[in-house]
Amino acid sequence: MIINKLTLNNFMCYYGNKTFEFSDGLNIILGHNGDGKSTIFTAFNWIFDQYSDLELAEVFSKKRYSEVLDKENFDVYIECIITQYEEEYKILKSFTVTKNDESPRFSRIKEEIWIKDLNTGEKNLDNRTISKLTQQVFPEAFRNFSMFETETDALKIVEGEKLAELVKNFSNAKYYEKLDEVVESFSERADKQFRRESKADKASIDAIEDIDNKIVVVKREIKKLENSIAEDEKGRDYYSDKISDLVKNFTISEDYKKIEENIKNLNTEIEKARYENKARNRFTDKIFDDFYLLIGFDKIISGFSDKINLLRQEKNKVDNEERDKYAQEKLQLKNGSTPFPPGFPSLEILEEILNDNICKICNSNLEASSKEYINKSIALFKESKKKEKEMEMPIIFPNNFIDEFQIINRSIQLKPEKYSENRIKEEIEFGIQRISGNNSKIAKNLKSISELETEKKELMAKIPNISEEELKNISHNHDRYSIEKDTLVTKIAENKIKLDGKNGHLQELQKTRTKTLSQYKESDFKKATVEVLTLLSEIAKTVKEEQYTIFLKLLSERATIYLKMINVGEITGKIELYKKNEKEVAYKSLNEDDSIRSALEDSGALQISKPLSILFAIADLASETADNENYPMIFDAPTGRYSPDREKEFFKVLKATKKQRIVVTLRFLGADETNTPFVNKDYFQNIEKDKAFFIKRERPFDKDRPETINTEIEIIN
Amino acid sequence: MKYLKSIWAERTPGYNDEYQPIFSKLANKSNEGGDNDEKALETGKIFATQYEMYIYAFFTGLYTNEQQGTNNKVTFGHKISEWGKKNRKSGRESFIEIQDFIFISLIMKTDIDFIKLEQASDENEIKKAVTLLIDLMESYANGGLRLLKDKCDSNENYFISSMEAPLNFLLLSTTSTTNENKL
Repeated sequence: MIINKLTLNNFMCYYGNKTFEFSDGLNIILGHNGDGKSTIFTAFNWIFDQYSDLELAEVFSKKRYSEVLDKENFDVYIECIITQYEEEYKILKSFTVTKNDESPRFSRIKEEIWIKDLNTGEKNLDNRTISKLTQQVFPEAFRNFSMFETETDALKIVEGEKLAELVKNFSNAKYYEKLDEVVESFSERADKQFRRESKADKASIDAIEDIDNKIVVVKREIKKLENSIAEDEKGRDYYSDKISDLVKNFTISEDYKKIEENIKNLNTEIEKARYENKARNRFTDKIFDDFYLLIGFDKIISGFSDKINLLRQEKNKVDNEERDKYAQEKLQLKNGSTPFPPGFPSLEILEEILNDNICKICNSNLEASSKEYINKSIALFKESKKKEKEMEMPIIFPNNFIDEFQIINRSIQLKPEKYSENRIKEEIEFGIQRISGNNSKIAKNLKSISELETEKKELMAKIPNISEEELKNISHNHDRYSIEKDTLVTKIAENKIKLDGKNGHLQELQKTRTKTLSQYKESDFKKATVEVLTLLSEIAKTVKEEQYTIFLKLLSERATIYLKMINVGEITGKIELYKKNEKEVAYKSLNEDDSIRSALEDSGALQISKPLSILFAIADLASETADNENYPMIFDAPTGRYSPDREKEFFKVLKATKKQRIVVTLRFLGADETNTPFVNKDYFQNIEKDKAFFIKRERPFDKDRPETINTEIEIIN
Repeated sequence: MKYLKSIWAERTPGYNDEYQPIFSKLANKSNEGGDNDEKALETGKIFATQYEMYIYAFFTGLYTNEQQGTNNKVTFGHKISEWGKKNRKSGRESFIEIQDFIFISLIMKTDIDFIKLEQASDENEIKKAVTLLIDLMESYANGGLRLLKDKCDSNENYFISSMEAPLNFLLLSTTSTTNENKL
């Protein structure tokens, strides 16, 4: 399929009627961002993709709309002329915009296809819808690999489900898919037939099924028993070997035990000796803990006792003296303390006389002098009484330290025999002797242990298959292993009897089955038919898989060729496409020797050229497999990261493919001081191409006012 | 009732600073219980705590009747009532009874007029008496420390030469009164 012409009428930024007349080779459209490159993709999508979700309000030229009067209308359309084989198709998709106060009104979208026979020149209206036609002239699977609006689109698409779908469609696999369908349909039919007939002989079929089920169960049981017996036999042999090893080594075991016992005893002795030494070595501790400090204390303690006794005696003496003194003073006071002479009235009578002011003896009034005398006598009496009261025993010793000393003296318990010089000297001597004795014992024992260890090693060397642990427990293990072995032997015997029974049962079942089957040979034959068909289906699947792989291999080889072509003079390695899973295809980079190539080894340009090479390869192979039909490729040139030389090479390769390519790019453009773009002709003329267009917005314009935008197309060389 | 021993035991006696080096040489720095015995063994010290060495010096001074007055006193901040109190990790028992023996020695040796002290109602009199006891204690301890120092000066490794050396030294001190040359 070739796109000859694309006309955009009042379509987006393309004001009025603008046409691209494409070459069937390499077309390059130069344009700056905003100058209408993307609109070309939009136009192709709008016309070929029935699911394009473009809003009509987005599509019409705002400049044209601004020019028409209210209620006036204008047409918006895309016309695409393509040729395929001997026919030319003019495809038209249009609608009318009517200006309205509030918002524009749109007519329904109209589609029109004209078909022209290129041999006769005859033209006819084609009644198909555009989407129907598109399925023939530019199928979706190809479009997916033909149109890439941005650089990255192309890079993304070469992997995954879409590529897998394409590989399936264009490898020979699709033919085997048909075979698959045929086999499946036959199988179903045969199966139905078989089942239908089976219903007639339900009883006999049931009988066979029943036998088959039983056979499955019995076989499973037999397998289980066989496994169990095999497992148990292994165990029995293991224990037998162990037991015979142990029996052989009984004597060694006894020797080993003796050595172990000796080492243990020697170690116990060492431990004891060390412990004793530790205790005996603590002579300094004993000074305090065992009161060896008191070695010269007997003189002190006896001196202390004597002193306390003396103090006690002295204190008693002082005490007695003080008490005597007091008693005497008190007596003295008592003796000379009566204030009233004999026959003198008592205190009560004297106080009464004073109160009544009448003498009780003479019964006359008291005279002042008498009154004074009585008062004096009473005062004297009271004074004497007070002194008597105060004359109590004073505290002689406010402190009681001598008692405290006495208590200490009585409470301490000295054991002079323990702290005597001789005793301690003996103790030291004995301790030193013991320590030295212990030390030589420890040394001797350590030597013996080392000898015994050597002996033990020599012993163990005689029996390399037995661990020390096993040797130690030889008799215990012998018993244990014997029990284990006997248990297994019994179990094996039981299982063997069971196995005989099961085998007998199986033979019976098989006999019955053969007998039953011989009566229903026809059913058996039908079963075989289904089996054959299933086998056929499986073969088809395998072949399909092979074809898929072959196609991937071809694709990989072709992609690698492109890769090398685009990157002449560079070490590129190889591209390998592979089936990632049932649904996806992926690619990896390999070195020439098929080792995995790290992405780090690739330049940026080389990385980009890989998916691109795959795309070219897809385009090639797809066209070769699809009745030799070629499809155009329309894409945004991913040469941003290329050096000028590499870029030149890229376009050269593209041209050499001799297929229709429409490449849009902003490369080769410059801009003057008014920001008006121009083509860098020196550079661009070295680029191989068949036809070139330069699109740019008509000056002046305001990018924020769509009604000022009009893209113009210029053909350049 | 006031106990003279209790009042005395609340005091922290000291020693002359000239003996600090010998304390560092022979005793663990700490005065706590815990693992001092193990530490002493590991670090080559003779005495697990400072007060053990102090007690040892005191008895040495006592038995040899060596006394030395106090001069530039330093203490190790551990009052008498705490001495030998704690059980040790190493299994050593407490030896607080030794406090009694020191006290007995001091009472026996002091010139304090206890009859007069029994009669004293002034607290200061008691304090003075306790100070006299402490002075006496320090005097014997300093005396003992001097003997230890002399021994170390003449034989640097004497006390660590054998495990029984400190005990031997003590033994000699008890008999030194009869034979001056032994110590």
